[in-house]
Amino acid sequence: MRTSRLKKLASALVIAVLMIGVLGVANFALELKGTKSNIVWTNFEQSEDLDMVYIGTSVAASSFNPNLIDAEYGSNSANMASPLQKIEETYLGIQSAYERFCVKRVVMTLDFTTLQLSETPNLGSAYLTQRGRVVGPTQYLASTAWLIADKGAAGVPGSINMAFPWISNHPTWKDGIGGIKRNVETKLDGSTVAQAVEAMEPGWTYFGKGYGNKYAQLDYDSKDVALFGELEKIETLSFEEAAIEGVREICAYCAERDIELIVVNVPIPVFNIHGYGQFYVDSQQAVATLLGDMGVAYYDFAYAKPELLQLEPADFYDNQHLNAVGADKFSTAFVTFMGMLDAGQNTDGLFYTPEEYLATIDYVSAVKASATSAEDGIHITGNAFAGSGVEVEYQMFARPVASDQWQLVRDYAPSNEAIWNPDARGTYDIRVNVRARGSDVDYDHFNTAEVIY
Amino acid sequence: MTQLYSLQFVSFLLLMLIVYFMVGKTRYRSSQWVVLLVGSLGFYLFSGWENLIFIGVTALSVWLVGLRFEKLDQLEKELKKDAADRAEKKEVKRRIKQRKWTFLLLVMVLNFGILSYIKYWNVILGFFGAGDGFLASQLLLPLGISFYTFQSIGYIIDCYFGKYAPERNFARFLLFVSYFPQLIQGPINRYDALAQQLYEPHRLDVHNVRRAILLIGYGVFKKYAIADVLVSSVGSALDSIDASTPGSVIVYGIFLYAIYQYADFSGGIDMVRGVSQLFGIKMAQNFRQPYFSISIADFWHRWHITLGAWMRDYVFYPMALRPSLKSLTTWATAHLGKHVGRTIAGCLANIVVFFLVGLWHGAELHYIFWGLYNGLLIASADLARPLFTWLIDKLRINVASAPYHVFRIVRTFILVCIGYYFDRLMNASDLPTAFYNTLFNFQPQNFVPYLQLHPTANFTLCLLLAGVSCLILFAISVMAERGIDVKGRILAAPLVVRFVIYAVFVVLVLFSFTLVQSSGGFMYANF
Repeated sequence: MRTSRLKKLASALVIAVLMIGVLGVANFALELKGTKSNIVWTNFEQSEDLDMVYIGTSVAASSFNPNLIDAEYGSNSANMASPLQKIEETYLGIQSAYERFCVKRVVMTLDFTTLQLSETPNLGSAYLTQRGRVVGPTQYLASTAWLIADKGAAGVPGSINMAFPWISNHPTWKDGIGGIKRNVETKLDGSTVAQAVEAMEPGWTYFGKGYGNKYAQLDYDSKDVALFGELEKIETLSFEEAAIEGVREICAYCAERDIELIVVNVPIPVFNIHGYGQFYVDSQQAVATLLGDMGVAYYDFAYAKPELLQLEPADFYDNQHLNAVGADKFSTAFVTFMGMLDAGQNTDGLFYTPEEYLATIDYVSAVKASATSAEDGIHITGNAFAGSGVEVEYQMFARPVASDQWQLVRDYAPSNEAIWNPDARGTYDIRVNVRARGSDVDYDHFNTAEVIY
Repeated sequence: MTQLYSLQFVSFLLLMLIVYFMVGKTRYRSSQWVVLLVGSLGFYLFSGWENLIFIGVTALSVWLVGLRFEKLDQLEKELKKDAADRAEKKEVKRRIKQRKWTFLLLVMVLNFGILSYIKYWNVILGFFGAGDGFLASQLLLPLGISFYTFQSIGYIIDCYFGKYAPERNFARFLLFVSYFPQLIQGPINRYDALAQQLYEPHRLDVHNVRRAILLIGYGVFKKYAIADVLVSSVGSALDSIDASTPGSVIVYGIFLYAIYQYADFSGGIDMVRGVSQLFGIKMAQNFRQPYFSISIADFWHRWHITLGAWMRDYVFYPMALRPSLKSLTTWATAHLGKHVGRTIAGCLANIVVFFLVGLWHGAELHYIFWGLYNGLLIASADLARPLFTWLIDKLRINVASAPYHVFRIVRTFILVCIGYYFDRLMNASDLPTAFYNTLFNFQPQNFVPYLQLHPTANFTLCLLLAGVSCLILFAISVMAERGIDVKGRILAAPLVVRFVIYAVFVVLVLFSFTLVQSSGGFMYANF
C-alpha cells in the first residue's frame, strides 16, 4: 500500500518536472526578448541617474526623444512609455522611477481611450514582467500586491497566465516559425535588447534612453487609413471609474512626493482630428477638466501653433504615431515649451482653440471609402477629412476584384454617395477620389474598399 | 471570481479545500458542510451583495413552504385519524391538498415572478418600444438565478408530492440552493441526489481528486482550446447578416457555433463538476455526447440533461397526464386513429415544454422560435413515426446497420444546426434572410472573400487549433460513447503516455491564450 502511494507520488513528481521542462523550453523559445517594455526596463536598469521620465502609451513612446531633449534642455531623462500601457502600469513605472532615482518631473500622455478602458493590466504583460525582473521579487510583490489582489487583474485568465510570460509576449504568429527562430537567435547570439527589437521589427531603430522609432511615412491613400483603433466604436465621453481612480492616484502620488506632473496630448494626423470632429474637441476637454479637478495642467499639442510646432503629414508613420522625424520636431517644441514653463511664462498663447485650429486647415487630409450591398445595387460612400472651410467633391469608381480596369461610377460632384448596379454578383473593389472643389488635380486623396454583391 | 480559470478562483478553491478537509479531520467533521455554506455565500457575495438578497428570498420562501407542507401532512394524518368515515377522510385530503396547492402556487409565483421580472421585463418593455422608459428595471441578472430558481422549485414540487421530507435546517437548505460550483451555469441539481452529499462528511480521496482534476482539465481544454478560439469566427460570420451574406458563410458560422456552444457550455460544466468532485460531491451530469444523438428527442436527453429532466418531470408529465389531455387522447383515438391518440397528449406537452425551454433562455423572439422549433420537430417526428416505419420497410433499411446509425446522427445534427439559426441570430428579423441565403444564395465563390472582408485576429491559427482540438474531443467522445472510462484509462496509463497526454492538453490550452484574449466568461452564465 505504502509502496503504491510512493510510486504514485514519484510518478506525479516526474510528470510535474517534465511539464516544467516543456514549459521552460516553450518560454525560452517564445517569450520575446525584443520588446519595447524590455527596452524601457533594460534602460532603466542601466541608468545611473534620471530626473525626468516620459510615460504613457505608444504615443508617448514614439514622441519623446530623450537624447534630443536632454541635449537641448540639459535634463537627464528616459522614455518609460510602452504600447497599450495601462494606468496601473504607468503608476508602477512612476513609482519605480521615483524609488530608484527620485525623479523630479514626470511627463505623462493621457489619450482619452486609456480612460475608457475598464481592463486592469494583464499580470503577465511584458511591462509588468520586465519590471518584476528589474526590481526583484521582493519589491515586485511589495509594490504589486494591490494589483494582484485586484478583481479585474486576478479574476481573469491572464492572472494564471502570468506564470507563462510568453502567452502575452510572443513573436507575432503571422511570421510563423521565422519569428520564433529570430527570437531564439537573439537570445543565443548575444544580441542586446535593442538589437532584438530591431530584428523583430524591421524599420524600427533604437536611439537610446528607452526611445526608438521608425522613419516610415503614413500612406494617406492606403486602404488601412482609419481613425485610430477602437476610437471608431467609441461614442460616449464617459470614462471608466477605475481609470479615473488610477489617474487620481498618480496625481496624488506625484503631489505627495513633490514630483512635477505634466500631462500632454501628442499630435495625431490631422485627418483623425477631422474625423472625430466635435467629439475630439469634447473628449480633450473632458480629459482637461478631469485633470484640472486634480490640480494638474493638460496641454494638447495637437492644437500647437506653428511658432511652437509645425508638423507635416509625412511626420507620422501610422494613423496615430509620430515617426522619428516628427518626434524630433515634437521633442524640440517640447523643449521650448518646458523652457517657457520654467521661466514662468504664459504658454496659453502657444495653442489654438479647437475652432481656431480647424480653421487653419485649408486642405483635404484624407478620405475614407465604404460600400454596402443592397437590393438596388452597391451603395458607395466617401467621407473626406478636410478643414472646416474646405468644400470637397467626390468621384467614384468600381471594378471586379480580379480586374485591373476601373470603371467610372460617377464623376466629380459634391455628393459623397452613389449607387452602382453591377451586371453580375461577385466581389468588387470600389474607389473614391476626393479633391477640393474647383481644383483641377486628378485627386487630392483616394481610398479603396471591397464589397460583396 | 466567477471566472474559473483565474488566480482569484484558484486561490479561493485551494483555501476552501484546505479548510474543508482540515475540518474533516477534527471532531467537528459532521459540520464540514458549514465550510461549504460559508464559502458559497462568500463566493456569491463576490458577484454583488445585492444578489444575496435574491438568493436569500428564494431559499427562505421555498424552505418555509417546504416546512408548511410537512405540517399540513401532519395535520392531514391527525384529521384523518379523527375522521368519522371514508368520505370525511377524503374531504380532509382534498382540503389539505388544496391548501398545499395554494402554498405551492404562491411560492412559484413569487420565485418565477422575481426571475421573470429580472430576466424578461426589460425585453418585454423593449418589444413595446418602452425599453428605456421609467418602467424599465435597473436590476442586473443575479448570477445563476435561472439555475437556482429551477432547482429550488424542483425541490418544492417534490416536497409537494411527498417524494421526500423537507429539509428542516435552513442553513443546510441554503447550502443546497447556493452551493457555489452550480451557481455559474448549473447544472440544475436535484435535492435527493445532491443534498445528502453536501451534508455528509468527506475525506480527501486521492483517486477522486485525480479524476476531478482530469475532469477540470478536460473542461478547460474544451472551453479555451475550442470555444474561445471560435467565438470571433462565429461572430464575423453571423453578426452582420444582410442580403449580401453568402449562404455558405452562414452555414459555416452555424457549424462553428454548434461546436462553440457545446465546447463552451459542456466545458464549463465539466469544470464545475470537477471542482465539486474535489470535495467528494458529484453533481448531476449535464451532457452525454449530444452530437451523437440519433433524433431530436435523443438530443434533448443528452444536451443540458438537467434542464430537460426538470421540464420532463415538472412540466411534461404533469401536463400530459392532465384529465383534459386524457379526454383529448380518447377523442383522437376514436377519430384519428390509435397512433395519433397515443401520441397527441405527448406532442402538445412537448410543444409547451420546448416553448418554456426557449423562454428559459430569454424572452427574445428568437429564443421562443428556437424552443418552438424543437417542440414542433419532436411532436411531428412522434406523429409521423408510422410513416418512417413504413418507409424503412419499403426501402428495406437495416436499422441496426452502422451506416443507418451514422445517417441518423448526421440527420439529427443537421436538424440541431437548423435550430441554431433561431438560437444564434439574435435579431429575429435576420432569420428570413439567413434561411433564404442558405437555400437560394449560397455563393460558395464568395465564401473566402466574405471572410477576408470580415477578418478576425489569428483566423487561420484559431481554426487550426480548434480543428486539432475537435479531433481530440471527437476521439474522447467516441470512446465515452462506447462506454470506455477515458479518465480511468488515462490514470492507468504508463507514465510517459500520461505525460504526453497532459503536455498536449496544456500546450493546446496555453497556445489558445496567445491567439485570443479570453475573458473567461461562459455563455450560459448569462441565463
